[in-house]
Amino acid sequence: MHRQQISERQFFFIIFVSIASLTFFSVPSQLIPKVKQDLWLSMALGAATDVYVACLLYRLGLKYPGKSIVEYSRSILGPVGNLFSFVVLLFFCGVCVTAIWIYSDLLSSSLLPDTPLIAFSGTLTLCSGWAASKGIETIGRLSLILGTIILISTVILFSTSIPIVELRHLLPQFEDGFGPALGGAIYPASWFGICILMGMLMPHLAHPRKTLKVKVSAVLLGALIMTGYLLYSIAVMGVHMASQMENPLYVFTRITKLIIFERIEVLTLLVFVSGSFITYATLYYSIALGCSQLFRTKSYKPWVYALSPFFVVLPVLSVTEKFGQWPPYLDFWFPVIALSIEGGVATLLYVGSLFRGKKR
Amino acid sequence: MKAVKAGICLLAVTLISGCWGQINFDQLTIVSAIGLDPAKNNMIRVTLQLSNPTLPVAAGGGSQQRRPFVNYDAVGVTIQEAVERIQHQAKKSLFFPQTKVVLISEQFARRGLDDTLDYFWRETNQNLNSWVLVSRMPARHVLDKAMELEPVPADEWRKYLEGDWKRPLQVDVQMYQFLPRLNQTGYQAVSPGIGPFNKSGKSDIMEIGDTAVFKNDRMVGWLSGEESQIVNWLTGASRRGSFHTDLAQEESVSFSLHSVRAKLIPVLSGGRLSMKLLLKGEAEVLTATVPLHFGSEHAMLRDVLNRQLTTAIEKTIDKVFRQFGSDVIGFGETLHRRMPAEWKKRKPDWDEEIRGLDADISVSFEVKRSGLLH
Repeated sequence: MHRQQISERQFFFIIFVSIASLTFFSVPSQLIPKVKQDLWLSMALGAATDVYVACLLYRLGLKYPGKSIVEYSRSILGPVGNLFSFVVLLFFCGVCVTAIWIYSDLLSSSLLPDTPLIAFSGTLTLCSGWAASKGIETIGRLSLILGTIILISTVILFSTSIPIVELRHLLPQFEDGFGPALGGAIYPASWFGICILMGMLMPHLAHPRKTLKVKVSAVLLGALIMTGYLLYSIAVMGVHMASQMENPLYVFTRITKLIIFERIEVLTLLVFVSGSFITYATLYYSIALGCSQLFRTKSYKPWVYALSPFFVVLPVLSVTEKFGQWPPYLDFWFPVIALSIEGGVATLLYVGSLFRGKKR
Repeated sequence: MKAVKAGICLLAVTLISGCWGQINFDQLTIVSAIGLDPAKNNMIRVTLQLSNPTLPVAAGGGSQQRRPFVNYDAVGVTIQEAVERIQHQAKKSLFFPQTKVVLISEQFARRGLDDTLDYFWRETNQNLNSWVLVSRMPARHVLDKAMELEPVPADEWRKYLEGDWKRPLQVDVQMYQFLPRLNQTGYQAVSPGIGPFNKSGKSDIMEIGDTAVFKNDRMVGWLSGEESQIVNWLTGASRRGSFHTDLAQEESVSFSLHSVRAKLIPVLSGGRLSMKLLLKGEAEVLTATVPLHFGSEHAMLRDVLNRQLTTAIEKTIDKVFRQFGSDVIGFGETLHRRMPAEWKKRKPDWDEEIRGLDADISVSFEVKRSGLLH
């Protein structure tokens, strides 16, 4: 199978856009009510956790050049490695379903209340599945465009919102000590950690040695920008109001102006929905590729088609809705499972590789 | 294969989610203002001012004789219920994201708002940037009788409230700032007032002035223009203003004030909390009813200004803290920011504590210019 290649810049924007869009839709409602104005520390710790995982995956990627996490899991742990790969791929599927559910729920409650949820999951799966079937090169090229749009619109939005910012809303810092910020770090860490799909993308990089530098830069920029969004929403609305909103970032864009334009929430949603498309397309591609490597099929494309019904239907099934009630699932089970897999699998594989020695 | 792809593309068009709830322009009407009044049996009367846009002359609208706005009202247990009834009257889809002002009648504000205004938090189509006004007469009457230069009165009020040029004697508040302060201890809500300037019968010119003071979700009283200006300085909402001093009987000097900066400092002494207030700024003589010798009388002018400002601030603080029992200057939030542990102890009884709070006020304005060209 011909392996498509992506440049460092494309890889940078894939990671950056993934961090930004996942944080936009998922983190605010979890983080702001619990951590309030100290959330910058949680975001910093979340980014640091992801950098740690990136270091491990980078070393593994260099040790097993040209191999994805699914392939070198098998090389390191033998048949048990297959089980590890299966867990990682299952986790990616879980992330996809959860993220599509949150995305559909926000769009349905804020922008298009009359539209059935399945229209959101269906269109997103159709578009991202199509991009995934075209390969990572296509996704990379798109991420260049959308990542640049996210960056430019963010800079303009932050600049034009300065007049309505009240910095005193960000005080007092650490009112309840460091505990809430440390505990809250599991939310950004669990979502940022999804970038372990670096383990699937590294073999596609033209210059794998630069992977770590590019990945860390993208994570730091994404975390910085999204911390900015979160702090802006608190500084504009006050922590009391921000912590009561389902998505305070969205409400912030309802309040602020983009130069002279008011009610720009649709524009912001458009930007982040596009970002979500890149994230899901990359996850979709990684899952399909991983399945083809795990089950040793010739092409990954049949997996794209085979998985699509799950991504369309599962996010809107009533069982998922019940399962996805905010407090138990998103507040506890998702972060715990995500961190165990992202950090746990990477650490175990790295330790295993140290014992195993260099194998190709 | 190409035909299959083309078919999928065509299928995707049907899924374009925006078309699901499409509303044609002619079925849509923009809500410019919302009025809230109390009604019998603890119900709410909602009045909606709906814009009735006319076509531009170039588009053939020159000869149109249409009313620029129409007011509809209905009563309901909740705002939502009343709005649904209005929908039946208007027979159009009501478009709220461009609502300019929300008028709350004084009677309704004094009844308490917290159980009703959650509608503005929850209804995603509501405009959190709309300006809040408390009307001295029923909001429905204000909307019916208002006569302004702009065809739709709400447009005029909005432009006034968001303009930087408006006098600093005026507070202003948008919905996203007003709502959280209705149940926030330590920084309570204020809103500008609106009422008829001179009642002339069928239509009135409305005056925006004075400040409605809230204690939690209930309105408790009014502040005058001068008192509103002081609240604006203390909350940092305005850095300029004007002040009128009396030198002697029938001798007065008016100052324009610039670069006004206030600092609230909580002081804890022997377990007793007090407030230290520092106010600094620059003053310029605007007008005087007596000849002034700026060189020799400079110090006297400065002292009179500072002394009389101190008295005015004392009176304002006394009124809001002791008379109204409301912390509209946000001293509680200042304490929260500076001494979080102390705030936690005092927060439950804050509404009572501010009534007995001692304030040490220090005003130091420098008279920089005589107001004459050199």
